Amino acid sequence: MRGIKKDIESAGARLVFIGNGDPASARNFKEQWVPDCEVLTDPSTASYALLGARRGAWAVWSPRSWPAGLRAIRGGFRQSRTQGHAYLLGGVAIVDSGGVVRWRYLSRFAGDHPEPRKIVTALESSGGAN
Amino acid sequence: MAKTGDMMGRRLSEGAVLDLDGRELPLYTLYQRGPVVLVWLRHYG
Repeated sequence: MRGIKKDIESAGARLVFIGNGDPASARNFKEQWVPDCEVLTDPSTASYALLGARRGAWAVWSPRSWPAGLRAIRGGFRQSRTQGHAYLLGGVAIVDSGGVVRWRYLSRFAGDHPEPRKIVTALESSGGAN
Repeated sequence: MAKTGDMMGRRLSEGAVLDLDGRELPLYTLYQRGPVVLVWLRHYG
């Protein structure tokens, strides 16, 4: 996701990550993975509910998540101790400056992410900055 | 614009998150500064 940061900015938008652990965990995440990005956190997970994010053990442990887990391992990623809510999935939303959600993707299982290029395309087709 | 998008936007305007210092930040302050791609993470670990 971080790889499309420049494309997002070229389209006139910002990339912001929202996690669900405590602020110290968010700070560690930022320092380790996305030092050049804005990182916020929502331990209450209220914003996840607003997004419509899925939750539940089956959503996380679904067999559909296994290939994504293998890809992550092959890519050098190792999941450490969970810092946040274990059975909560994430998602992505493009929100314009008027607060209208122009595009949304809800993860269906652990490791399910939108193709980064699709985010950029959706951003560009929504007019980017406005 | 899709009605669902408008509805969700209105709901987002009521939400809040925390910055790295633990200060509450209304979600609307994120997009008031311009369009934003918000990525909700599953977890940090």
